[in-house]
Amino acid sequence: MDQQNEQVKKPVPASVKRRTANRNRAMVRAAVQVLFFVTMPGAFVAGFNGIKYIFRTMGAGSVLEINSFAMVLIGLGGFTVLFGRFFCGYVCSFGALGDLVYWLSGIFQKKILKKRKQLSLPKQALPVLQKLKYLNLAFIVLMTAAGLMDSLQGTSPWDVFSRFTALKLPTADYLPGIICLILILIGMAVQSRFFCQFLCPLGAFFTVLPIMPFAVLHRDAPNCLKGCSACKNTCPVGLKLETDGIRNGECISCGKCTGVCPKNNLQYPADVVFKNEIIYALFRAAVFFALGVWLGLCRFL
Amino acid sequence: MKYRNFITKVLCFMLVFAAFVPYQAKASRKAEEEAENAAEIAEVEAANREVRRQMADAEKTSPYADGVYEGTAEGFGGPVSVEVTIDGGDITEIRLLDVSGEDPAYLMQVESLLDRMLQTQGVDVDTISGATFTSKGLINAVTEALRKALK
Ligand code: SF4
Ligand code: SF4
Ligand code: SF4
Repeated sequence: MDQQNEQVKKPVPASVKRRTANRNRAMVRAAVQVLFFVTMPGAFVAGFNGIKYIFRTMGAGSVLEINSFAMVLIGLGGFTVLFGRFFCGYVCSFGALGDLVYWLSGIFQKKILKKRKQLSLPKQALPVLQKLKYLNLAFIVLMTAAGLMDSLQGTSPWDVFSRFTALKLPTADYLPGIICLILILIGMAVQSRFFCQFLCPLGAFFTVLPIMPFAVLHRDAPNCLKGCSACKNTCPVGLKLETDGIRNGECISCGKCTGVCPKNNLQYPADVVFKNEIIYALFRAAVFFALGVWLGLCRFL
Repeated sequence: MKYRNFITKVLCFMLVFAAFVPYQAKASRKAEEEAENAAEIAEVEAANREVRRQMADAEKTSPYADGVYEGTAEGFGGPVSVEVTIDGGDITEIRLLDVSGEDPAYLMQVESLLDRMLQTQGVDVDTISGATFTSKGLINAVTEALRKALK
């Protein structure tokens, strides 16, 4: 009783406030991810089908039409131009799978193996490995334009994953894809956002999209604490946050860094309007939900 | 300059979009020519079909008995069921009965298959890339309905 009274009287220290806000933000993000995982697990595949459609059609020299896959691509792209890669941070089911696996792997390593720090790849290696996804995108796009994609039937880990989200089991001709998915799951357990950072062809396309100045986080670097690198250490995609704005297309708008900054130096321009970061995240989630339903991504509506 | 980055990116995007314009123009021209050719071919084929149908009518060789038949097959996220109407020995209508397991964006992709099947009066159509499961579900469901329709 006494203790409680004391807590009420004393002003809550900033660090405690930050920790609470952080936990709330993480919980809201997880809830949004679960919601989209259940309702729109196929969104990223449909978006990438749009890219494949464009290159297949152009490879064949036919007229491009705005069909449903092309619409999904335009929708996801337009959303990312306006709001940054919020889709990757909060909506994409494969990204959410990566977060889940990495989180479980962390619990396993800390609680069962009694490790103090979760295993991860050396930070210097990340920017180099992150370039791999462009090769992956280029390879798939060229194969599609050449009309050779059908010969790779069964190798896509996404096809296997989408079988699971449809509550079905993949058939035996998807064996190469199953093996790829298992390797990716292992990678996900070792490095946060393993697939997103290093391999995702759709993510590679997304990196060039956040063009609006208000789509990206802004960092007031001159105001930083000397020697502080809290934001960098918490970033799941290992961003070096040394510049003023985070113009880097790798940023998945997860908002983790904004929560750890002791000086509240990282902000979206829209935070001025929304006052609260969580409300802004919920706003973007609501916008995407409406968009997704309209694009035919929701499996229930 | 504060907005240099932004302006560069916008310009790049405009360039990429601009590249689609001549492509679309060229592809449309090509498609028009092909459509003309195809129209000619279709005319000849239609005439052929008419002749064949008259012969068939005389001998009644359509493999299907008139009626309405249902078929079901496994699609992407559940069963796809269709209703096929045979009239005068021809497939005259294919209706989707239950496609609740398919995502709407994928369903829109495979709708063109219905027209193709009516046109060709059969199920020998290519699946739609990117929507393989839904395509196969639809084709197999129609196949099953047609099997029931066999005399
Ligand atoms: S990078 Fe790819 S897999 Fe990762 S969240 Fe974005 S779209 Fe999904
Ligand atoms: S920079 Fe911040 S918002 Fe962007 S990915 Fe890293 S932690 Fe998330
Ligand atoms: S956490 Fe905040 S104060 Fe620390 S380096 Fe990042 S932006 Fe600067």
